[in-house]
Amino acid sequence: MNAEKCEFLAGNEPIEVIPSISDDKPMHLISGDIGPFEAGVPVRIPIWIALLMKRKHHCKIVMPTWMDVEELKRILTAETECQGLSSLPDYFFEISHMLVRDARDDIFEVEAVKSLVQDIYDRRDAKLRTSAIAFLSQNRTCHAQLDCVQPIEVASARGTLEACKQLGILVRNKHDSTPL
Amino acid sequence: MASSTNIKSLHNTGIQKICVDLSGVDKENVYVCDADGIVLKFNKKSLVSDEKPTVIEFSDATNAAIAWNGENICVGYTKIDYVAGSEKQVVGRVKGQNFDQSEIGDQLEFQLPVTTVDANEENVVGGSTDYTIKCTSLKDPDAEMKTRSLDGEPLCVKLDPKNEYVAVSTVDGNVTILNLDTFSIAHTIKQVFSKFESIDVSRPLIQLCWSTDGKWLFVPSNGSVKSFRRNGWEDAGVYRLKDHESADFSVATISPCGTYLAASTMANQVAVWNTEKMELVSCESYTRHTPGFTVITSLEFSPFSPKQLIIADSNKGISLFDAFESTSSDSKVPSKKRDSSSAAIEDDDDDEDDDDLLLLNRTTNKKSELFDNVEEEDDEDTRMSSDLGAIKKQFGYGNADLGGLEEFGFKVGEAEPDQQFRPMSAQAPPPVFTEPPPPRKVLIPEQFVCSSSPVDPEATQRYLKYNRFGIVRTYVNEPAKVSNIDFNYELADISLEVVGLASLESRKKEKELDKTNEDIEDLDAETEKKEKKGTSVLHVIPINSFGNQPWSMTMPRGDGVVDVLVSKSQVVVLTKLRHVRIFTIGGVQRQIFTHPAPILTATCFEDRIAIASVAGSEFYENRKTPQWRFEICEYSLNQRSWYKDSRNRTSLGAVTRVDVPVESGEQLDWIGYSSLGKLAVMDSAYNVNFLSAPGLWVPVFQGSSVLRAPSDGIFPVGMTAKEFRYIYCRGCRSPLVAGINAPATVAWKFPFCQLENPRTDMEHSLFLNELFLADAILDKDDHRASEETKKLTTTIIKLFAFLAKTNSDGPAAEVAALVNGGRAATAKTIQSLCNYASKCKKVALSNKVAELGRKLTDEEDDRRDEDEELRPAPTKRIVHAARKKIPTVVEKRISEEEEDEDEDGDRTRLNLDMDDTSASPIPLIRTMGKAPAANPFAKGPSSSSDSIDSSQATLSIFDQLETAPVDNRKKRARENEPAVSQAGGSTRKQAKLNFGGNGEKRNAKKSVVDKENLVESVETMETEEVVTKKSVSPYEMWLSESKSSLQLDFDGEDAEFSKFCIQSFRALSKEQKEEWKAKARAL
Repeated sequence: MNAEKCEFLAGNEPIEVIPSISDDKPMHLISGDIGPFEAGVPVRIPIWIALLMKRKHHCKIVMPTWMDVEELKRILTAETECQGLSSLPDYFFEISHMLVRDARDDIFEVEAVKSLVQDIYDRRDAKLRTSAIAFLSQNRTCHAQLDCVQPIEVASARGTLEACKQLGILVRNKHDSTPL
Repeated sequence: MASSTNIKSLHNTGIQKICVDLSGVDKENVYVCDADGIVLKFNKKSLVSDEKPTVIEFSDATNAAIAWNGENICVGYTKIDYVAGSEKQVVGRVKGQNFDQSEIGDQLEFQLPVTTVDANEENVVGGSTDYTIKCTSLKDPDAEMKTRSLDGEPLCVKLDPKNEYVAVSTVDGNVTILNLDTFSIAHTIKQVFSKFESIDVSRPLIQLCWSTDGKWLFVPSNGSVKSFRRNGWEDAGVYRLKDHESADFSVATISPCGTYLAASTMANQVAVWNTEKMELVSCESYTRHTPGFTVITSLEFSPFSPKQLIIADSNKGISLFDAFESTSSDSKVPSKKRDSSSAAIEDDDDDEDDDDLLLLNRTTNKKSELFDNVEEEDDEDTRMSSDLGAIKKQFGYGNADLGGLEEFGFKVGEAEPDQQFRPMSAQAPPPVFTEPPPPRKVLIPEQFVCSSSPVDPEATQRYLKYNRFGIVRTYVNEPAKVSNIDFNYELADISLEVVGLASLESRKKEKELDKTNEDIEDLDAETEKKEKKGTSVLHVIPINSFGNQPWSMTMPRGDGVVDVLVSKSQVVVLTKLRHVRIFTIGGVQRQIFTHPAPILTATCFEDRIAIASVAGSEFYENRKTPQWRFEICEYSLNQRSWYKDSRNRTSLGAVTRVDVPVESGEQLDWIGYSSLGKLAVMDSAYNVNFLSAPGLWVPVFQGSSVLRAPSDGIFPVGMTAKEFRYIYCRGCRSPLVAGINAPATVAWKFPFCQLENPRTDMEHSLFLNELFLADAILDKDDHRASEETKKLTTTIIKLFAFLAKTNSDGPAAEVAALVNGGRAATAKTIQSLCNYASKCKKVALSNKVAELGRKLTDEEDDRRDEDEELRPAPTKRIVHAARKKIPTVVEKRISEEEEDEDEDGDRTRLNLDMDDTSASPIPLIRTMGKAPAANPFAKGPSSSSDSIDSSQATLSIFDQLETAPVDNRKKRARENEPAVSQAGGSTRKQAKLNFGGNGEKRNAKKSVVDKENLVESVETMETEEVVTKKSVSPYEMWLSESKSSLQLDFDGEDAEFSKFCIQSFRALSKEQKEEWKAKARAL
């Protein structure tokens, strides 16, 4: 799974939109019905539909509460203070990316939001790298637990983990092949 | 003779604290602090003349604790931090008499309200009801705050003039001396005065004072003012009033020169002693002639005139008091007691002392020596303005010794009566006329536009309108460009059909336009003169109507637009002259009329216009802030027929008025129509009410329950059929234009009690359904009404079931009584409720519900009878006629007829109709000789087997349900039923629903009912159900065979033939009847 697939999965998360159209008929989707739409009345729909409607100027997307600058600052502070990874909303980075890319005009202080999300990502990425190096550089424990990892972080770490796995195989082979 | 100047009125009752500049620099002003957020600044003029004092309002409450020393004024007050949502009790420091709230620095902070404050040049000390005394330095901002906890609420703190000690009086009767450096307790003088529970205006305030040299501490106590020597804090003597041994001293103060000690008692006696000579200078009574509890709460020597005292009382009074102008009547009371050893001697010489004092007090020169700085002339003039004695003296009437006496009826030259018996009331000053306060001008709330951001000159943009149809937003500082016309539109409204915009009338704009036009004229002199007034312009953009051509209309000069409203059929403009101008969507001017009151706000819906106004004057309700009664005037102007609705005795024409509910102390904030045209209002406390069809204002939303912070606000967007929409505004009352505001939608929620209880949900639904039903009935929408009735019935059944299950039989029966919706529906519902109660084995409840059912159906019958009396039906007449003669057989006929008419009809309805059209014998028997509450059929004892048969045969559905648990008896009864009744076979008797009918009314007419008739009536009822099986009754069989012979015998009219047939059948013998019955059964 790569970042693109993560984003695809994140597209199914519901988000609040304010439609500018009215439609009494609900839309029947595999994942469930959405609508009816009444202009000006917020409704929750999957992000991928929200973005489609947004492109047609049929709605405005209401940013998730965590996408407020103050809230992001709080998350960033928590991330800095936390030893491990702090808990984030589901698909935090994927949703942020999609909205910053496709719904810029609906985000208040979009540049600040973008910058803060990037900061949070960098901070978590740094933690992951540091802990991975620390883990690989020791030989006493062979497993580790990592909580609150975002899907996109798993995807990005997959290469490293695969490499570790291969290394493990090599080491084992070496041990097996070394005569006693 | 003591006199006081006009007693000026303070703002509030309760404890008042006068504060003079202790440094003696400012001799022009005094401050008075009350316990309700007001500090008044008086100067000499404002204290003695009509001039008003300067009012300094603290947004948060003050605590009648204030001290002033030079540059610093220290005030104890409650400070509310709206951001943190907390209250702080602080002593604030005001520098240079600048009471700007932002400039006041917090010196001391307490947990509970501050009760007393004192300050000198270096330190400030405060006491609070949390029993703590705190002190800090005024000079060093970084100085630590010293704290000491005592055993009682501090009444007064006084800093030693030498700045070494702090004296604190507490409610436990002790005076504690704290060392200012260490803030430790240097000494506690115990039981100086009587202890009491808490600080109250009815209790002595024990206001201490130090002598100017700091050697003595004076403590008011019961019967005297005690003095304590600094060295050792020993009781060094008392100052008391001879004839007032039990006088409860409350306040003491020392003159700036340090010579005189003044004190007041709880009985409002004001005494002045010379501390050097230790003798009483004067004793006067301070009286008020106003209702209410008056006690002196503060006493200070006047900085304007040292001969006078300033007195503030608990009854809003403050005045200058000439306590030194004592008459001989006062001199009889003085006494001094310094040491207990000398007291006895002094007692012996009382008379001599009195005489001496009399002379002393009557000698003006003596008095003038008492003061360092005497302003004789000024003071005299001032005093004369209100002192009759002074005026007399100036014109040579009497002298200082006798003038006072003359006023009280004493004659010069006559022997003085014994001073011992002179009443104290003689010392009272003459009644002083107190000018009534000038009437206050209170402005009514300002006009505003619903669902728009308030006009804020600092805001760059705002919402002109934000309602459920859309948003009209503008940039205040930039002109909006609409249809080639540049205008600053300040008013707007939007509906699905049209957008209305309007500009305000502006003189500034007029000038600008004048200038522009002059330029144009200069360029082209031949240009026609255009409208150059800065008048309002209405611009309307139709969206979805025929033509869709935008149009504009210029308002007459001086009649500018104050609000614009649009609906799907009209554009309404409210103007400065309170005109209501109505236009069609296309721009046709329709009506214009004048609203009779100031316009507060307005809204419209279709052809209705609602204008809110303030009705009447302001009123007060335990608060200082004025409250208003709001009223909505609704104009209904159907454009096609408005002129047909004339105003007369029975009709109000096009105008209806309704009062608006607002919370106590709040104002109207929003009005609007719901999508169904229901009027809704919201007050400034965010309580939303809507006007229900019965005319009740029903609360549907309480904004305070959703507010997360005190500074947050609710911005109403609109009301739909069952929901309220709003925007939650964080930190403001209207939404920010930047960003996206997602309206929140909440279903109507009535503030019922016990919301966590599932029963409340059902009660809520019940009320809601009733309201919807009321709306449907009001709208005369039969379809919707029937739908809502069904929903209501469902809710009632659910609630009944819940209550029955939870063993709440009483409430369940009450709920069952709410069943409504026509006879058939009522019967059916009651039947289902009965079924359920029986199923739950609740016989009593079932019984009760059955009784209710009978009552309800009786009521329905009565109602129907009344209706049908108004429009009589032929069948009804026939039935009534027949009922008088041969009721039961006719019933059968009618039932047969109805079967014919409505073969495929509802079975229940058939039964009910049958019951309705005839007086069924069932209710007759049911109500005969038995209490209606009891069910005579179910469990009552029967005298004979026949009666059992008949009663069982006539069991209604309720009776059967009641007997459901006792199946055996029912079975036995069925076995005993005659064969005729068995003709029905398996027909369930539950289907034979026979609620009371008109039985009770008709009982008097039908006292005896034939058993046979009963059997036949049952047979009739059962026949309705059996008819589908093509069975033939004995009567029919007999009739078919005997018809020809009967026709021969009959010679009357055709209409009477059937009656003749029935009578002939009845004339048959019993055997013959049995024969025919057997024949019928055989078929």
